[in-house]
Amino acid sequence: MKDLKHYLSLLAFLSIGFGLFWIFNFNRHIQIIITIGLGIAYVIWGTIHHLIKKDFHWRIVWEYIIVAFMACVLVIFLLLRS
Amino acid sequence: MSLVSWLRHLFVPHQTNNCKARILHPSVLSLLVALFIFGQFSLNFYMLVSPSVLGFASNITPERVIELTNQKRAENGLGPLTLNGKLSEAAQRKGGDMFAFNYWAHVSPSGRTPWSFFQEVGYRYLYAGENLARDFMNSDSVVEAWMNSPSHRDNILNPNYKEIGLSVINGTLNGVETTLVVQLFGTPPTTTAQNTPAKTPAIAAVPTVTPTPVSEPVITITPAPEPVELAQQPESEIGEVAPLSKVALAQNKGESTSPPLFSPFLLTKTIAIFLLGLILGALSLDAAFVCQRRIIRLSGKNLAHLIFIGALLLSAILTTPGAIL
Repeated sequence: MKDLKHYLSLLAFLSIGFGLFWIFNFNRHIQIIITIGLGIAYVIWGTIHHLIKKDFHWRIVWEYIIVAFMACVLVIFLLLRS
Repeated sequence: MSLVSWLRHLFVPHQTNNCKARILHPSVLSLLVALFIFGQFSLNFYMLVSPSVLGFASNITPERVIELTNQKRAENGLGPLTLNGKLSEAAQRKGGDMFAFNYWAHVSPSGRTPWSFFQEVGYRYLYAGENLARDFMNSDSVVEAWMNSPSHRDNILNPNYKEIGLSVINGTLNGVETTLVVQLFGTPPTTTAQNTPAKTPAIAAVPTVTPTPVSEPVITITPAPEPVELAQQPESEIGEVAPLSKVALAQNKGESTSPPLFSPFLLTKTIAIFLLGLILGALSLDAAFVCQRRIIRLSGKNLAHLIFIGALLLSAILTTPGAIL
């Protein structure tokens, strides 16, 4: 599979983030920080990935930002409600 | 535009949507986020105008929480805590204070500490601690959550504590029907301690704050050895077991005790999972068409989006109501 290393690194940091999210269950402040951290890390991952693949464009970065923002907002509002 | 072509425009990469499912365009994703945020603020407003409609129904009993607490202590080789009526009364007052002044914290906005409630009910202590929880479904999940938090766990497994007081109170906090659990720990001064004035400091441990010896100003709250008072206080009263009861909602500002119609948490969770699932489905469909039709376009990686959103969807699914402090 192409870009296997890239996707393994993505899976690695998402697994760590998810693990921390689970460990800090019921500690909402830390869970929110973890969620924001995952969103930022994802945008950085996307940017680096496309820079390496030499198809970097600001429109692509914007797409990663929107996807990360959307997912994080949904989870953060859910955490704030719990 | 017919419904079929509109759905195709929304979910299938085609020349009409610039070879990318319309729902995955940043403008549509932004619109969805904006609508979600607007919905959340509308819910907040609705909670303010119709507080009794929203809430959380739980099945927590003080007896079960105490039983589980003692069970956890026994598993760690510690003796059981004795239920003390005065501590339970202090716990009830603390819960009532949180509802009355609309706060969720160890220290009230006016600066009132948990230890003031000990003093209010006349409970004198050598060591004291407080655990708080809200909006849990049942007693087991409350104790489980406390045990998973190092600071709360330290309170439950503190060998210095000898007595426990507990209160489960229903009321309205920030416009939402809420169930608060207040767990107080204490160690009454022993006769030996009473008679040795030099032996100080009591420890007042608030879970989120590093336990600090109550050796300075708070010493007025802590047991200053007063043999006369001890003599007036029968030995049996310290370990007295008082029946616990749920404080009715009506106690707080005379509000209704009728069960809430729906929970804001469950509503938000349903919408969040639906939206994340919708985007996940759209990404999968888009990826399948891109692969099948060998479409070349300037875009982020669908597989990466799928993995990221999948992880957050899993987090949302696993999020359960309840908070501890």
